[in-house]
Amino acid sequence: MGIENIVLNLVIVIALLPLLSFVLLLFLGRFLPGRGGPVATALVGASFAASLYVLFQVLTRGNVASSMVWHVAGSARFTLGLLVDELTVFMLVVVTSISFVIHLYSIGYMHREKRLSWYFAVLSLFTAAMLSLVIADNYLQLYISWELVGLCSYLLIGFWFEKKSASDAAKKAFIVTRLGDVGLSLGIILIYVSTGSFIFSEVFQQAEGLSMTLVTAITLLLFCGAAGKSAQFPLHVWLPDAMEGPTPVNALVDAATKIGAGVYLVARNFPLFELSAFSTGTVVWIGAISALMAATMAMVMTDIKRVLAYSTVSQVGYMMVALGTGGYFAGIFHLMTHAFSKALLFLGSGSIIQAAHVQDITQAGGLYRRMKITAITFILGALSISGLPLFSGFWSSDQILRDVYNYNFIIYVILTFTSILTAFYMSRLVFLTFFGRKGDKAEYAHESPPVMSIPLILLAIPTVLVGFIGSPFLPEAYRFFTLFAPESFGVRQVEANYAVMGGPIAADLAGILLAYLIYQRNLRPQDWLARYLGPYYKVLLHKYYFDEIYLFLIVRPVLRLSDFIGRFDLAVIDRVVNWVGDSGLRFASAIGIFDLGVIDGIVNWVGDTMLDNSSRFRLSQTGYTLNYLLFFFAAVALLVLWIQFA
Amino acid sequence: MNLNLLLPEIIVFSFSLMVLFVSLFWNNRKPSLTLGLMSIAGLLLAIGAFVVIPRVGATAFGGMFVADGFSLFFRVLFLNLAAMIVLLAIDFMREFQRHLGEFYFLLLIVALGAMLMSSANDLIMIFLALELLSLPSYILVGFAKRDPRSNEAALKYFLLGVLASAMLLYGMSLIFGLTGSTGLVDIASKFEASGGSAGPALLVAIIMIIAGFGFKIAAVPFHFWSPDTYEGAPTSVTVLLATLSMIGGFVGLYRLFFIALPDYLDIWTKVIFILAFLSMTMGSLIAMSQDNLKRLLAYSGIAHGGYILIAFSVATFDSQWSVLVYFLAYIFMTVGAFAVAMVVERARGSSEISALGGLGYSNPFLGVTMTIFMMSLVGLPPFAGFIGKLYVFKSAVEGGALFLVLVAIVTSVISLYFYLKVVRQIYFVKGDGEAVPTPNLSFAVIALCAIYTILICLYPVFFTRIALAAIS
Repeated sequence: MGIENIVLNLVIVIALLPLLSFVLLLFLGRFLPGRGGPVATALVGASFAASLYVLFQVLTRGNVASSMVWHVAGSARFTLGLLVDELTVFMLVVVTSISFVIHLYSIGYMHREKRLSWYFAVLSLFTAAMLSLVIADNYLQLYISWELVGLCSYLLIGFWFEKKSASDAAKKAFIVTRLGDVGLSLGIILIYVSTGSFIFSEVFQQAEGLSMTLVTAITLLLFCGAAGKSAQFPLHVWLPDAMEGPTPVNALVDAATKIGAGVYLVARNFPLFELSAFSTGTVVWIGAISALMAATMAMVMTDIKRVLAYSTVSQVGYMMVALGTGGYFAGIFHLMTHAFSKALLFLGSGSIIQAAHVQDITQAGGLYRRMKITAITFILGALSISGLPLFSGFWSSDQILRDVYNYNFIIYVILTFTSILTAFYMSRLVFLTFFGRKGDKAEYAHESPPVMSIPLILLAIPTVLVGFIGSPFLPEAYRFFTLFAPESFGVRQVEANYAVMGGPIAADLAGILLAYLIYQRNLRPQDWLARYLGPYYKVLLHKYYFDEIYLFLIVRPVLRLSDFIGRFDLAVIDRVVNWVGDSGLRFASAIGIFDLGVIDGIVNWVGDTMLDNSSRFRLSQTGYTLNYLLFFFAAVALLVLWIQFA
Repeated sequence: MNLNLLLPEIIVFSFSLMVLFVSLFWNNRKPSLTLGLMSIAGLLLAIGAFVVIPRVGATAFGGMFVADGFSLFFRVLFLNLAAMIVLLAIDFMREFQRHLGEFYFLLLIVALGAMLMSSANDLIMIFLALELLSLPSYILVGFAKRDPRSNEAALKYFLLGVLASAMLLYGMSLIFGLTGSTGLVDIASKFEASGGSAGPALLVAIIMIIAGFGFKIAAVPFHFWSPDTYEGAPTSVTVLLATLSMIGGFVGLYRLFFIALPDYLDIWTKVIFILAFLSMTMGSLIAMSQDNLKRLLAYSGIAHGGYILIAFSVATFDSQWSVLVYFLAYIFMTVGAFAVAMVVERARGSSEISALGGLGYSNPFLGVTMTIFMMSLVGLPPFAGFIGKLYVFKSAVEGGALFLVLVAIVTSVISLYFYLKVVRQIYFVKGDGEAVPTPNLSFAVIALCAIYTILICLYPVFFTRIALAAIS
């Protein structure tokens, strides 16, 4: 057995271990120690270790792929396969590492829950679904995992169903992303129709022969799916609501799984997107709008998790911009640095919520002295997201901005401005939570137990350091890292362009300074932002009225339509039927299109007889049947009319 | 005369009579169990009989009855399906102490009608089979004599059913008038020989036949009876209507149009196109506002009928075998969903969706399996419904029906909304914690359905091979 086979089998094992954990916990969960949490953690940990080995093998030896025929059905061939390239191994490591840490953290965070083994079972299934998504070598397999990811997020976000808001949020998360999935499934169908294959490599090979319009349509449809899963404008509305779920779940959703899936989809289909300038342009603009809009909303939110949720939307916007501008490497790099930082921030916020029982940052304050580990790691994460130099978020966002600078100056300005906002809302979060006036809740706060603080430390390490492999200071590591993408995938020359670098740094510092002045030194009153922004502040608080718009434009009309057709008011049916039956048939026979003698006769006879007997029928009937009968006739008559003309 | 070709049918018929007589003369304490097991013995014996009879390439009754791959597939399918329904009925008909012999007798006759429909090769045979399928159903729907809803459902079903039969018969008589023949193959060759375009009479005939079968398969706009009837009938009978009777209608439609009228394919596919479109959209839209699980499943059945009709309207080779796979998927997920509904209805005394509250915690087995069935009905992988939709949509796209597939994808997103309503009750609502015991036989049926619902997606090759063999 060659090393390739070992790698392939290992990849299967990596995806199967969390699945095994799911099955084990589902059936034996209640008998396991800690209701199965430690077992699940260990299995996902093993998955992580195996991923590291696979990463090393693939980076030194190159890609591995294998495909087998799943089944042949008629003229169609369905295949199952693995594609293990740099992008895959990279995702494997990110997903398994973060999932492992979150499993570990959940042992502490969730230990009081009643349905603990169910929680860990679905958490593992979520991980397994995401892993099988990134190892798929064809669209069909990808789609299967894609839906499984959606189902798991539904079950987890609604885990605390006792809160109505939680079960509503779960439903919203599922249905809004499914809206995007309509695009994805259409895109996949279109791909199959135009290339006759579901397999990535075959599709990419044939893609250049396709017409521009077709490629544009395909990529835009795929992007719909990605925008739904990755919560991009205008499908971002589910993510803030999803904060009703348990905090570790938010960490997993925002950092590694659901959000990552959309970015992964675009990255995986990079060869397709590259062919259509219109599609990449759309990706860039949607990304930029999401980045800016979400950042503005994050500034005014007072719920710590909602701030983080909007921050995720904003940061994923950066990744989309990067992918759209051809910065394949920069986008993936940012996905990784963001994943670690955001997981850290969410777990930190979970620690705060559990220790101080406070989620509203205006109620918190002065927590720094009470919980140092949480505070320090949280601040590191916030600095990394803000993109402060030397933190990993800096290196990746710097790469993106450098790419964007060469691409389109307006986008560069938007993103730089977003950097100010990012630094501002992150600092606001930190100042209001950890420093300043001591909130009432701070009195009783205490540091979380080691099972929760150790994961924070584990995540803080990559949050600070992982960026260096992409920095200009470590050219060796960087060259190694650029293996991630072949030349054609648009890896940019790494030269520190200090002028371009300088803008965002200045922006970050300005944002932090502003937050410091307002929230720490109290140079301006706390509600300064509200007063300064005026009516716009209200718009932000209402999240640009997106929920209301959706309610008004989509949800209510559909429900009303359903209600309307469903009730099909007796009067309506009656009138319609009579009208159609009488005037339609009379009209038709009058102009003598075809001999209605027989039909007319039957209709009249049945109609008359029924009407005569209707009182007798009503004794045992509600009278609906009469309408049903007439409707039946009307339908037949209409169809006959139609087919004679057609 | 090649009577042994009908050995399975003869066995089913003999057993149905036996059940009737035994129930008359033998008083025992568990009539439902005894009579049910007897029926199952008959059904299994009939399946076994296929080993000894010529399975394909033979005819009986002067060509009125034909044994081919298609009929083999459906005869065996209907026998298995009837066995599952009887298993469920054993648990749930216990409360009816009287007339149980009649119940199982009628149930077996419905199965017999469906089997004859699969082999019918003549207009008269098709009509007789359809009546054999329908008449016992009318009685079964009204089986709960003291329940006014059951009576109402039966009368509605009967009145509309008679009208549909009359339509069908009229359409058939027009075809007979045009060709002078009732044999399907004969009709096809006569039409081919005349070679003309379809005259007005034939067009009317096509519409009337579609209306007649459209009633049986509850296709919009011939569906009005189905929600009322599904809700009012005893649930053991509802599951029969939603599967055996509905698929029987599809089989008749298939045989008549594909064998007798292939020359006018472009005409009748157009009509079916409209029915498919209406069924998918109306079925899914109306299902959203339902609060009763049986009504919801009725509308969901209408929508699924629409997906199945897509394949009929495309009418390519691929779409034909695809739809057989869809039937397999549909049967297991629908029977499973109804079985869970029956268990819950009996324990909690209501078939409202809210009766499922907290089921996932008070009975994890039912919770998980119901979730599987619902997700499969949506068409989410990795469940059978996904494979069924995948094949049908794929064949439809290749057959040029992209529009219908677009509609189908949009409606299946809508359908997520109302299937989630059920899942939400199971997991996201705290029920009254009332225990829901699962009777043993129902447990077996539900487990079997769940296993197949997953298996069809994980190992589809087995099922596609059967479907392909049935068509080619």
